[in-house]
Amino acid sequence: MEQQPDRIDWQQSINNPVYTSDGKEIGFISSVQTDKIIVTSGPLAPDKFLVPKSSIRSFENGTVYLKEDSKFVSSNYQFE
Amino acid sequence: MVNTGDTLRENAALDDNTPNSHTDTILNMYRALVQKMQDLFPKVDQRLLLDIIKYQTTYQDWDGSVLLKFVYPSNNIDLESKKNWVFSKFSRVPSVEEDRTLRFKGIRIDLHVLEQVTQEDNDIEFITGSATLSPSSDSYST
Repeated sequence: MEQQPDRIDWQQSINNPVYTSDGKEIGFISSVQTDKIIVTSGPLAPDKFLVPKSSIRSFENGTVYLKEDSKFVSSNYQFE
Repeated sequence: MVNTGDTLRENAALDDNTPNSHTDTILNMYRALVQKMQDLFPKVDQRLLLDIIKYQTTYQDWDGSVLLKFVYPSNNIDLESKKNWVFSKFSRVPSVEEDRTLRFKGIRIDLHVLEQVTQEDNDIEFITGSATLSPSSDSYST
């Protein structure tokens, strides 16, 4: 079932996978801040992304889909 | 009469549904704390906050050793001036990750310091890292 970003239960979203608009999985939600989510990938030396909640297109069946593609996400949201 | 483990778990499950149980009280207080942290420290990683709160309140002699990461917007930020600011404030030269994150290991970092940092530097987008208890641990390794 699809949920719009403004109706997501953020505590329920922890550990759910995050996909870019071009179908790449960038990781899972490890933490939720007021207006951003922290997405982490990989157990060793993980990449981390600081993704604005406004970038979320939808939350569907436990999966988060972003509006942007993987190139944009890597360039603009990765911080570790 | 012997109470088996299963029975205990069943009783606990029943208690979970009891309004105003001790468990509910603690969980509600925790949720309220997390919400308050989001309101007052919206730019700080909640796990880092909780670790610092735990060490700061439990161990009087905790030296505040924290691996800190200041995340800035991905463009239009002069990271050199930010590095100088970190050095002037913490006497540490931070390394740069992903062209937007300053990373350094500091001491005497507590909640008050994080509050000052977020007030002094509005450019910071997010603060994360990890607090450590022992001087021999990772935060002191360099």
